[in-house]
Amino acid sequence: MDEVIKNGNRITFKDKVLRVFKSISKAIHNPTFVYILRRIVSSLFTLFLLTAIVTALMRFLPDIKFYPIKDYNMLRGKLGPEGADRWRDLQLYLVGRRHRDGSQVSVLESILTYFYWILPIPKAVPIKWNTSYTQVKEYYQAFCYFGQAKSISGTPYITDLFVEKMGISFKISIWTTVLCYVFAIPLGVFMAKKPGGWFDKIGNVFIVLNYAIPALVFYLLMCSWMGKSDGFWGWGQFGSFYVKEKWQSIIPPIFCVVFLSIPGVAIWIRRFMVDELSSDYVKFARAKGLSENRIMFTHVLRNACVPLVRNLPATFIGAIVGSYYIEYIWSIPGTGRLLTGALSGSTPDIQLVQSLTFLYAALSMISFLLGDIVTVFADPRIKILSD
Amino acid sequence: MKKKILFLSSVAILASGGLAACSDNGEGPEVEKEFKSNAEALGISKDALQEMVLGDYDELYRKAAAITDPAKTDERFKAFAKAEYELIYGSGLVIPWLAQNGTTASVSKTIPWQAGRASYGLTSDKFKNVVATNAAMTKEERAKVTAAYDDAKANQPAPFEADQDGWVSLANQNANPAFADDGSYTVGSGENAVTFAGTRIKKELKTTYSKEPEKAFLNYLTNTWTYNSYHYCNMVDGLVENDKFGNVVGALADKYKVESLADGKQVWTFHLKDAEWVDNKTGEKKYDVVADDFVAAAEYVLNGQNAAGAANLMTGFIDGAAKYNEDTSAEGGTGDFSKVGVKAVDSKTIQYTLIEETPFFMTVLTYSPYLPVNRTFLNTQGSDFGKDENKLLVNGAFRITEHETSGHMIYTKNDRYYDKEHVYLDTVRRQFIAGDKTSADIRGMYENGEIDSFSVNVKDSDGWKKYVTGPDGTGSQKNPYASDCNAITSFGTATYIGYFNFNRSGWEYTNQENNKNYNDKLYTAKALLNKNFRKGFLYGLKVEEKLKMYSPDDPIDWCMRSYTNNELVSCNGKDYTEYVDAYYMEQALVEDPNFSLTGIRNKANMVNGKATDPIYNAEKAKAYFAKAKNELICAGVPADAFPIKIDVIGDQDIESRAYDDAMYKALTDACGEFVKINSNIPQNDEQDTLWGSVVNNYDFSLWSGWGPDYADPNTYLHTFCINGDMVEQLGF
Amino acid sequence: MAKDIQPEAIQNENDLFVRVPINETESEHLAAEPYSYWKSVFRVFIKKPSAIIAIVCMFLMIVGIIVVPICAYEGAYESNIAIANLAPSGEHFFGTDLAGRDLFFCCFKGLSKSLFLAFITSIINVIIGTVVGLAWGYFRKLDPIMIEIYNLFSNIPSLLLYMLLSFVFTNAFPSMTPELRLIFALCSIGWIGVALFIRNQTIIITNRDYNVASITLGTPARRIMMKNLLPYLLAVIITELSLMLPGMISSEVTMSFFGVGLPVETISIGAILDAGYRYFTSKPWQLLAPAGTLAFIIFTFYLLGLALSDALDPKKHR
Repeated sequence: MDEVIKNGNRITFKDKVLRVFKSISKAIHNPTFVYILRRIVSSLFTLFLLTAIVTALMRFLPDIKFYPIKDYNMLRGKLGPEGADRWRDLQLYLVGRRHRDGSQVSVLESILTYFYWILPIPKAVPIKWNTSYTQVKEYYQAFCYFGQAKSISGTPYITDLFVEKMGISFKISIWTTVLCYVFAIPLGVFMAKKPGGWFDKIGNVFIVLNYAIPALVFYLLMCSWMGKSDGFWGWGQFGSFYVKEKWQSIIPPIFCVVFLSIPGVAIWIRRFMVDELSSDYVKFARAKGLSENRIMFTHVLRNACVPLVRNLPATFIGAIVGSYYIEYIWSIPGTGRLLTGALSGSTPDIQLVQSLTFLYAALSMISFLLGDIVTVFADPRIKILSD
Repeated sequence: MKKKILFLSSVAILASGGLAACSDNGEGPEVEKEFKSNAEALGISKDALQEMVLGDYDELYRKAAAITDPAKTDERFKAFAKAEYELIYGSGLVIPWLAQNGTTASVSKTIPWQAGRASYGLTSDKFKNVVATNAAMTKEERAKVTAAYDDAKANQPAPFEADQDGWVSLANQNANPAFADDGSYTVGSGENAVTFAGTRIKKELKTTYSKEPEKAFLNYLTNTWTYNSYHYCNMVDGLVENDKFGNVVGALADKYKVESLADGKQVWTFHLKDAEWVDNKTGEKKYDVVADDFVAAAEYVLNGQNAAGAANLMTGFIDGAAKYNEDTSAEGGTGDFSKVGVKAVDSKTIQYTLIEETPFFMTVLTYSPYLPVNRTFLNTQGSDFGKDENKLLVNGAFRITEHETSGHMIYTKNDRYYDKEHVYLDTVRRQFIAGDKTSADIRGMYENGEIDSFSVNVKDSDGWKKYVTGPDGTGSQKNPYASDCNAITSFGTATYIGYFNFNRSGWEYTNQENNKNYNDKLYTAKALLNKNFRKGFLYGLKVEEKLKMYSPDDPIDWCMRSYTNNELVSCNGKDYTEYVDAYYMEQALVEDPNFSLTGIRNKANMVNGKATDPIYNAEKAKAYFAKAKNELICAGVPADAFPIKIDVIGDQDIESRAYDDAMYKALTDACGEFVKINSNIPQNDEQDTLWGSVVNNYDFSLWSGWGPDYADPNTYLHTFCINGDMVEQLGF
Repeated sequence: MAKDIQPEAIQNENDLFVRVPINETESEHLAAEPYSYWKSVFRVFIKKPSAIIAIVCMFLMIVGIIVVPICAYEGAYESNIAIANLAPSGEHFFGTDLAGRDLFFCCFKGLSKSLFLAFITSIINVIIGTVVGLAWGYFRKLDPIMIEIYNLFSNIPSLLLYMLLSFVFTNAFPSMTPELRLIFALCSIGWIGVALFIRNQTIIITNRDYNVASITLGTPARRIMMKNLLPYLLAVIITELSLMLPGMISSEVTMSFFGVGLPVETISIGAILDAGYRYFTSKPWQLLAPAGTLAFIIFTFYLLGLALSDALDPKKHR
């Protein structure tokens, strides 16, 4: 205090620096920031542990899954056992299970190699050899290298592959989520208005049917039914598979998914609203003379949406994963089939499985975190405490 | 506390399981200690066993194959027919049952008979010469086009003669006409001509594919997967191809010369047209096609390090190729390529030196190892060659301009193609169809205009009624009701056979009740060596039941009772299968002078207007089995060994299993006291492949077949000579 | 002066007054019936129409599962191409499938197998999940660790895990039946979702007054979990269980689809569905028979779950 009076109103450079430091330290000690940081650090730890486990699991699969046994036997007849073994060792080298000289790669080494690739440091990865794989012809200067997808034709880089396929899956899922909520929320509300009333009963039947029909069967039926150019859906000319140039061809899959996901959301809304309807503030609003609809949509729904909102980042980001069945049936080139394709093809595609697991896990953890933060903002009762 | 224990215990279980798995890599099945293999149990070596089983056939085969003089083709075919008869009906070693040469009802928007046609090689998958229309072919149109085609086929111009230097032209005398100025297309000439107006023609074809190519799918030099050859045969042309009548005509080559050398070898020289390699993505010219491209290809294919799948198509014919392949297959081995009979005389002339006289060599050239590759490009690409469509150079009719995995593929016409006036399509769109789309779905896609052709399947009852039988039920598969549905007879491209495992060394059972003990295995081994036992199978297996799965209406339409397929090769207008048929008739009359002349070419076997299986005869089978039983009992097999247990590999699909069961039931109903069939069902595709072609977990199998690689009966009959291509399936 | 009162009589108070003994139990006695939780549950349950329907349906189902396979004629489960693809009739109640098997008998046989497997798996999952979830929700200190474990387990691709487990078990324990393998595989990560759900519920009710009171009074943790939390959670758990069942059945179908489930030749609802859905437009009974049976089970369990959850909720016992 005395110092300030002594120096007048001049703000020294030292003061400015102190002020900056104070604001930084305040920001650092901001509980939200600390929380986020802590979550990210522990998520990273889990991510790496997860990748290590998945790599180890894949290493436990036997060697014969990684080279076509039929070709091996044919070559055994042609080149003899040594020639066939050399070919087999080459195939195993290309998937990372053997060194070039034929010796086994240990599990730990596989895990560490993979970590080295993903770390964001610049590195050179061999991607092209001469025709006999003895000399490296080209290296790929990569920052984060996730590998190449061997089960996809053209063996693209996994990051490119993902970006390319993400678009359409994301588009479909956004539409489905939006439409699902748009239809499900009013449905749930109207079911809750009169619990046990006829609307509620019809809704329940709808929900039970939804559980009873296996999704795959429903998709197949709708695909063939909606695809017919004459008949009930003829006005739309939807077609039986997805064609990028024809925008109507995206409608059947979206319709089917929305149809099957409405009941889930509707049930949740209904349950929550029925619980809320017996609470004090609703009784008070009724006593004050507000209309039912006003109460439902403006007041109760706002409270019901809090847990829904928590799931929203998860839905949006999880949308990137795509749905296997939908993309299989309508031949949509999305991300849904990547993981199952990598595992159930004739040889498992190790790098694709590892990278997809890592990416999906990272996305789900980010969405978990975002969901928590969104809840903080949406629900005033919840605060991040500093300790 | 509880959760901790749970967590730790689950981790422990996983870890121990993993360690256990580590120690056992699952290399092969456990073999019973006592019975190692049939050969070992019988006390003879594997080679001696092979000699015992295949010896008679091998002798006849070698005699026939030694006749290489092109003037003696008739004699050669007769000798081959004798060998083939011995293989099937003399020794009962293989039981041919199916060739896809039946009739299907098809609706299609392409003009028939225009594209190149052959049961071997890559020609039949090409889209060059395919003309598409925007409405389906009606019956009248098809009949007219067929008449024009038959007329032209009967009146083909004579084949070229050699000029004074010995060159024979390879020009296509039966080439299709180009589009007229008004865009119309005319088939045939003279009074039979049929013209399709320009408005009727469309330049885009929409078709499907059902399996996504995998890995380095376009490396045509090493790859033998059929699913991949559909694509690269449209991108890369070879020296020759087939025209619409099946004749071999020049693709990149415009003339050739044959010379015989003093030491029995033959030299084939080809002269190349002017052609270019273009980049797949941009379509710009990169290099010219030169003779060295063929040398580079041969070097790559024969280099053992590259593990080319079809190298045997070169090592079997070209002088010095087998030695080079062997030398380079050894670890770090190098070979001397200059000793191999593939030489570029100059930039436009390529020369192949063959081991012996091979009159049908040109038909071998239609296959993938003989396609050219640009040496510079191959070296720069290295291991990336063929990894996807952009890692290839194109000298063929189409470039693949778009490819979405499990989505679709688009081919675009190559504007710098040397023969572009015979490419009638601007684009081809191939849509990926998932495996479990039903025939009804595919028909729906056709009716929507999403694809341009489909076959009507009897399982799609609505479609069958609409197109084939018609609402009044008058139509049939051979004469469909709908005007735009035609009955198409395909020529079979492969013959499927049943065969025995003479030297079994692996026994895996899903149902432990069927497990065989030492004696069972020994008796089976002995029984299989008995000719009469095998013949009992041949005459007792009612394949008609299994064929009903392919064609419920007319199963015999698809039946095949000789090994080499129809329309492969003929001599003086007589198809080779007629030789086999004639020999069969000869022998049948010897056995039974009252034999009625029906032959084994199923199309001739009409009994009361309905086709029948010429071979199936339950009484005959029973007689053979009885004979076999007597012989075996005399040889020391006890009477209680009968019925002999025969293991077969079941089908994973429940429907196919039902048909198989019906077929085997017919056998056991008639001959149940002699033979019993046990079916092992694999749990997944891997196990199916493992059992069927690696471990040979069967005593009898219908799993495999063979398709022709070139136009000579040798391509089939070579498979079962000693150390032939298919003897692995027999256990050798 | 009144001379009525006789002083001698007053000396003996006991003659005038009878001392009532102090009986604590009797003084607590209510005229009304004591509240028994389970009796109330039963009473509410029986009154619900949905419960009665569910019980009747379950009874029919059990009778069907036991009786029908006994009546199966020889060869009902065998493929017989001669009688394939027949429509439902007096002889074959549900028609025949594409291989000639009688759908009526196959559905019931498959039903028993699928139901048994799904039941066992669901129960194991729910038990493990509840135990873990309760501990997780109650001991807040474990929260960060458990969340990481949850992240870990829920992100391992389930298909990979199933493939690996099935492979490991086939090699390490060859005598293990495929059913046991399937149960183990499905239970390996099925419990996680249940655990999370229970954990959320536990957190919500731990903050209620009666639990706070118990904690303050020093009740041991196990007693709180068993006596305070578990009964409240019962309603939730049973609803979860009834909804998990169809999920397990479809997981079994998916696993068979990828070749890591039951052997190919077993008869289960999933296998029949898989074989029958393709030709729905021309032969609808091949899909409707197994799908209808499946729908029937799911419907029954759903109704049962609904009725039970209402009955178990103490607030609804008035």
